[in-house]
Amino acid sequence: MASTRYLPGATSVEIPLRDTDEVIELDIDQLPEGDEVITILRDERAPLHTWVTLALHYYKQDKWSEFEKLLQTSRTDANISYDDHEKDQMMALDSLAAHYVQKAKKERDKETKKEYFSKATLLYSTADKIMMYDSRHLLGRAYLCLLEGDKMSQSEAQFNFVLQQSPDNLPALLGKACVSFNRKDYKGALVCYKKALRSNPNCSGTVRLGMGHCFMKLGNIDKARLAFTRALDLEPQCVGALVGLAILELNNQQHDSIKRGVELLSKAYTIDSVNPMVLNHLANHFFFKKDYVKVQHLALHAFHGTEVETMRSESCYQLARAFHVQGDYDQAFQYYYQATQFAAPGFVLPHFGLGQMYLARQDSENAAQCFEKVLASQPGNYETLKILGSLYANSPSSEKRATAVTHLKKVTEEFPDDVEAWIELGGILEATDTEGSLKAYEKASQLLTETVGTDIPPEILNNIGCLHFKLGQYNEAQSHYDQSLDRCTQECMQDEEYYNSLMVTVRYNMARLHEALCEFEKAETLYKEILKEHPRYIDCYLRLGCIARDRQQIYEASDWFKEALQKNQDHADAWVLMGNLHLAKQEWGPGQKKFERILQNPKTKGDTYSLLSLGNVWLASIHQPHRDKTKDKRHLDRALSYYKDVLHKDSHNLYAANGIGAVLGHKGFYREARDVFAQVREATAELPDVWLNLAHVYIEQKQYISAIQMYENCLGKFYNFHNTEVLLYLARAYFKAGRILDCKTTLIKARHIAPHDSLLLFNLALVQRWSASSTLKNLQSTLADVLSAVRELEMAQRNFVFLSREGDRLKFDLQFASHEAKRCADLLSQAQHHVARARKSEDEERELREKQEKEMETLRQKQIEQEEKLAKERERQLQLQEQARQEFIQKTQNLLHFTREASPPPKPSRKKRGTADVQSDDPENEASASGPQRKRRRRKKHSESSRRKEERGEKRRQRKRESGEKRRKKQKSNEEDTGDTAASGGKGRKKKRFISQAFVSSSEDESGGEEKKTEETAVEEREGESHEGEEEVGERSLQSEDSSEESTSGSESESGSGSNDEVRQEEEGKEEDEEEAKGEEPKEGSSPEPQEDTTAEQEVEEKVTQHNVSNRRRIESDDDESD
Amino acid sequence: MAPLTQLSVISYLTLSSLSFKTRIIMFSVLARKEQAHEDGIWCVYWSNPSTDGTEYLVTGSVDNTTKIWSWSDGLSMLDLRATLEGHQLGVVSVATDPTAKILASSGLDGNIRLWDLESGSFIKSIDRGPMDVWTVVFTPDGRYLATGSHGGKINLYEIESGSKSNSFDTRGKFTLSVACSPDNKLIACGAVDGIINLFDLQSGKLLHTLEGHAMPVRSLCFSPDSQLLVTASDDKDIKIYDVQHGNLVSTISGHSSWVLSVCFSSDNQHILTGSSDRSVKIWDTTSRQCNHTFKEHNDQVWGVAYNNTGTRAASVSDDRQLIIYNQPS
Repeated sequence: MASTRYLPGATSVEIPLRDTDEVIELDIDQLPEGDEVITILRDERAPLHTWVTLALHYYKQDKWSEFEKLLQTSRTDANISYDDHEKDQMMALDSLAAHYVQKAKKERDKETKKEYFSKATLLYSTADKIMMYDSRHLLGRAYLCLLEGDKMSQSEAQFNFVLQQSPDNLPALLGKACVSFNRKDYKGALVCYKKALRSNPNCSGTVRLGMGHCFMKLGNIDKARLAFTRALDLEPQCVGALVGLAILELNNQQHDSIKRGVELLSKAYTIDSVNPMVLNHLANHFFFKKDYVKVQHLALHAFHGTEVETMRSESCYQLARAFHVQGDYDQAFQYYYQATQFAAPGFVLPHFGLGQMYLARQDSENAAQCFEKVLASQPGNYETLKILGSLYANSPSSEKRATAVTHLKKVTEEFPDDVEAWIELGGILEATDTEGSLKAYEKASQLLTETVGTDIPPEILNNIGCLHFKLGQYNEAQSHYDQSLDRCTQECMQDEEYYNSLMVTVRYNMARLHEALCEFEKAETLYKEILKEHPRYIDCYLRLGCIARDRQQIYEASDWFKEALQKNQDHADAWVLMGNLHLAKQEWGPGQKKFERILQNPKTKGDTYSLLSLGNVWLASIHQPHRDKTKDKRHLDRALSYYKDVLHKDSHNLYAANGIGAVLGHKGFYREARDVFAQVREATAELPDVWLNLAHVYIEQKQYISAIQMYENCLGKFYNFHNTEVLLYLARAYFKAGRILDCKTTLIKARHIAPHDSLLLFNLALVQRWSASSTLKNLQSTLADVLSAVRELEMAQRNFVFLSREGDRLKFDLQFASHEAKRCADLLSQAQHHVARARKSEDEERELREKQEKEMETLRQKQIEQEEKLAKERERQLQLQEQARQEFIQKTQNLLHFTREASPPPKPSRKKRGTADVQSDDPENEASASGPQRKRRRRKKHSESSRRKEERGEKRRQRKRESGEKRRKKQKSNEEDTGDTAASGGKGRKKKRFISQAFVSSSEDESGGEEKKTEETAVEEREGESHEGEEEVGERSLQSEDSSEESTSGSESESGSGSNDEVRQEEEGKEEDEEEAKGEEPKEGSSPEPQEDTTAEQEVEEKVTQHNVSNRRRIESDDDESD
Repeated sequence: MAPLTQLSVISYLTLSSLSFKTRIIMFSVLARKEQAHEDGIWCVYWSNPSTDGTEYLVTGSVDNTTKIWSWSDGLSMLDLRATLEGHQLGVVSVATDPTAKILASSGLDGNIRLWDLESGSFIKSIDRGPMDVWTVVFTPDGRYLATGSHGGKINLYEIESGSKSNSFDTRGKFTLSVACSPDNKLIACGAVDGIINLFDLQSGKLLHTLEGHAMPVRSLCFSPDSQLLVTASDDKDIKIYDVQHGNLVSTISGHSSWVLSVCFSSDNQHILTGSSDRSVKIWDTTSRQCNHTFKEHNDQVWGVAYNNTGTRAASVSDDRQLIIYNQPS
């Protein structure tokens, strides 16, 4: 409407001349130069509206600079001394501002653009001061805000204001729609467009175009298509509509439609060759046409043709993609990178590309970040998951590997036919979840054969074999290895080198399998064959060495390891194995050096295995017999610091924990040590040392039953019952628990396994001597027992004599054996006395028994007499009653029954009397006999077996008396033993490895073989201290025991001396106080044994009372019979 | 093949003649004596048939007893004939003389006791030191008894007099195992350090020292043709040597623990082994393959023995069982 005022349909403009009524008429078609017009206007003081009109005419004729100049000058030079001039002023300002806005919109240079915007803003602000609420002005302002981009809400408010004034204002409606669209409120935008359409049915195609975009965004493709077509109908040159339609066609993904889409795009291109949207889409098209030069050209063009960042990012992406395909990764990387910088948050494709570029540059960390971004906006994207999965699969962090597993699992769940994903999954799971991995591989191979229809690659077959091997399914492993080898030979034609190397791996695995099946012979030949072809296959040397080592062929083993070291000086495993060999031979120094060497090597610095072994070496050093005892504490602390170091590096290291437990035990913190061991055992049941250590601690805590159980389980579980060392521990536990027979059997079994071990013979002889002498000293032993004890003593003596000549000097003191032999001889010389005593007591017993029988006989006679008396009495009474009955018999019949029933009463009384007799008999007969004898008499009548049991119990009690002394002997011997165990303590390693090279995994785990052993025997250590003085003590005390035993009898002195032993153990080293200590009867330690004694006695008593009852019954029955 | 091995004697008797046929060709358990002793059994010996045709099995145990069983092949029955007491620390080894008249048993107590095989009556004892007696064997002529000792000496005792008649010195370690070649020419012994020595029985000359093992050799046995010597060691291997030249013929491995006992079949073909891994295996010496594995015991198998025809095998174990197997020919 405004324009009509300034732009009448006239073909000329009249400029009124000052002070006259004349005018200068300017023909619109032949407008003079701008400066000329301005001079005229200024001179004639033309009113503002004339300026404006003229400016607009210039504008219409695209004479921008004249337009600009005119309007600029008009602000100062125009005549505004007329009514209504404000409107014209507004007009001038707004027009100029709008012009700048337009210019800014077209301008690409940011700076100039900003300049234009600021100019426009300035003009609008000036206009504001004249007429704030002119709708035209407001609209212009709103567009400015809209274009400036960051003042969306301001512009919306202004549009709304205009719309309030005139609801059908078309520009306001369109503006508002635009704002809504930018805010992703497509429905709102659509509503605005529709309103605009309704109010102006003939408006331009832009409305339709906007609607088309809204529909597209809302997913209403058909309506979008309609809108675009309509827009094209209205404006055939509308590029937006063309592109929109083209996109719709392209999205159809069909050949025809793509063709149509491309046609549309080219049309748009011919219309507007710089429209970035068109260029990008065309680039995209040419990318698929593989015309990368064109892609580059178009995309570059598009990139330079737009300021919009999303557009630019798309252009960059197109460019990058082109370079990517062409293999120019550096360029591609740059453009991808740029694209990601510009990209809108939803546009993740460049991230994907960038990630690929990072992958190409081996920068997996950045790549992973890129893919993470993709995944964040497209969760569940199959390819990204897969890539991320395999990226993380090789990550050192277990957490990342876990995510890899979840990613790949997702992939395989969604696309169960993706072989690659299954293989990847299998690969990751190899280390953590053997069964899961196996399943994945099997699924992959199944897919390969069934759906893909190809043969399973030998790598996968090998891996499946390995997994079966790990699970202990050796037959399956074998068959898969065989298949794998077959496939290898078949494929050999294609890539000989690769498949040959693969075959070596498979054969190595085969050899490992043979080893597991104990077919060492086959394994050895295989290894040697491999070495012939590949002399650098170090693992083969190591395995050969391990096989030799397990056969105890130490020198051969060491040769193999040395050979391995010749090939590779820094092979940590080889050094470890060498070190272990030294440790096994108790060569601590060289062993230590080997491990230190590993730690010195920068590559293997901080190797936990070596640290642990060094800790073990220090721990073992305190088991050595000829050591400086003052340094024990320091050595323990060293060991401890090594273990701590290991735990610091690997907080899940059970061996280090076990070692710490052992150190604790050595220091006497048994409860703490036990806690540590218990925890370790909870974590794994596969570590025999922990079992042993736990058992040792149990012993120390006097929980012998638990200790025995632990030793037995350990023996059965790990050693096939043939480890003499553990058998010795077990025997010791039995001894401490007082189970002498079991102890003896255990020692016999150990002897059977290692008949050459004189230490075992020594211990056995000790036990024999000990049990025999206690049998002899027991006054209650039967003759048979005494005789067998004498036989045992003889054998023990013979053994000691033999040992004193032939024993192993390194294991015990031969002097001691001869001393023991002497003691046996002494005992034997006393034996005659014991035999005589036993014989005498047996004779006595026999006499006693005969006497008793006689008494019984007389008793019975007496009873019979009494019975007879009673019978007579009864008869007399009966006669009396009979008489009475006769008297009353006529009175009533019933009375007869009554008297008959009344007759029994005498019976109970008789019974009572019977028992009373027995009881009174006892004291009478045995007034002279002592308590125990009485017991024994009863026992005689007891069954043979139960008697034995009781006696055994008594024997046991007696044995305890000497247990302390014997124990010490054993400890002493055990001490050497601990040396042995410590030797093995350093040994062994458990380095499980699963190497996978290009999907080939070789089961070369534990190339070190062996368990890692961390010893142990906290227990003996303490007891074994200062055993030299201790021997003396033991003997002295025993002598005094002997004398005291002889003088006193009964369980009292037994428990007393037994506890003395305990005390002496506690007070080792204080020999001076020995004599006094012996005299005392300390409470501590002695309590469990007396308790047992009392229970045993109770049992005896119980049996005795039972016996009483049965005796009585028998007598009664005798009575009845005699009745 | 495998499922049938589980069948017991009784089920065979009730099965039809068809299954009787299968029995002939199958490895199977013919008889099983549970609780044959009161404790683990350490040794077993299968005697030659005596004059009346009876085959005796002798077992020795930790429980200090030696038991004589008679085997009736037709019934697949084991009968306890006698329980011999006298040893004090477990019976380590038993053997009978070739004529199946005399039984010798050795114990941890260092005693060798001789018994009448048929009656079970005690004949005499040869009392030696605690480490002077281990495995006992009769020489094929039945005149001597050989056993190893701790000093590496093998002593021959004359049965008649009970006195030491000869001695071979290996200058080695404790000798665990001794065997005489059936042709009465050679005597072999294995020590705790794995060294095996071969002597000429008559001249006492040391013929070969075989160093194939480095762990205790608990059992060794000549082939019936006296050409081969088979050795069983704690290193899990079984080795076969050519006795003429002292060459290693083959190494057989397959046990997963110590091989405790080994025995040659009369066909010169098969060997029988018992191991700590609780299994009993039958091997073919030429193919070096394991023909069959019996897993009937649930503790280590200390002793195995073939009958003189090699058709039956026996095994004893720490689980107190005595088991008789069928070996298909």
